[in-house]
Amino acid sequence: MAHSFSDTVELDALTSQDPEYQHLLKRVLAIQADCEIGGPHLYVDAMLPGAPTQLDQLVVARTAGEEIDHFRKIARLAGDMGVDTSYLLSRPNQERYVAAFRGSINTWEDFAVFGFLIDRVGKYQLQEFVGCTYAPLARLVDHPSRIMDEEEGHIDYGTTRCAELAASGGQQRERLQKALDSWYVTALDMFGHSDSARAERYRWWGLKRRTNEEARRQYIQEVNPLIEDMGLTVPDALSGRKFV
Amino acid sequence: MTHATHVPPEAWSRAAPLDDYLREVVMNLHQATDRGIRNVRERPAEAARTLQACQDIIQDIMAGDVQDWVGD
Repeated sequence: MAHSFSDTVELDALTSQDPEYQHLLKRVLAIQADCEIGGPHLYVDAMLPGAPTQLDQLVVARTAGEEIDHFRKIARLAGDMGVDTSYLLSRPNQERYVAAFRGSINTWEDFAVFGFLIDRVGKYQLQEFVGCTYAPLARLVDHPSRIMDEEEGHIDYGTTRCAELAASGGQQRERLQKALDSWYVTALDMFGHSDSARAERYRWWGLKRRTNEEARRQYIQEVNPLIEDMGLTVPDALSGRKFV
Repeated sequence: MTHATHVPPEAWSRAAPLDDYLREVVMNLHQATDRGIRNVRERPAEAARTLQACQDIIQDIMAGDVQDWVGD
């Protein structure tokens, strides 16, 4: 289904929009806020003290701070439309909307792969809002966008650390491959069902641009060559998947 | 097209105060990490103290005690 609604909606016009539009917008903001704050909840307990060097620990703190700021920005958009997302700040990990945020990160390999793969999915999610029909959200991600630049920084850091760990070989490389195998499947699942009816409604209302399948395909095309360049094995794209 | 006359939604009462609070906390955290990164080579003990401060700030945010931060 093609994107059909093309108005530019500002906050003051929100209540006069179709209820489905308002519902989907509130829903996607709540999920985005949950993902932004869900990241730090995964890794700060173990990685703030446990990253290999003091510099890495400071980068973990910086990354967490940036994700908290992304939460703040999304929470403000939601708050301005009357939605309280503050409960997400301390929500137990097991209750997060997206499965990727329901566990914990306890190893440096997992933290590196999380940046490399999962923050990259986060970039894809944010790209969906570029030029979207809700103007305050579009302005948040339109170039130049601090939130997009910071997300790119997290991805670069994770990618660089993965490349270093892969290059070190031996058991280190094996641990990295194991982490990659696990997070790769999680990352692909984050795009949702290929035939999701809700995703099509998001597109119809101009709140998302790509189909789930399109975005996942582009992600695979981007990430697989990077994995191969590191000398790692690209995991099976279907094995263990929950959403195909 | 933007419609001419509308009734804006009623904002969540803590939206602006929480935004202000978190903005300041993040600014403090960013300043602390910048300071820590500058000190990491020459003054590791100072960097360690900064890291502890960062950890305290982040744990406070993760606790999410919004009422304590911005009241009712």
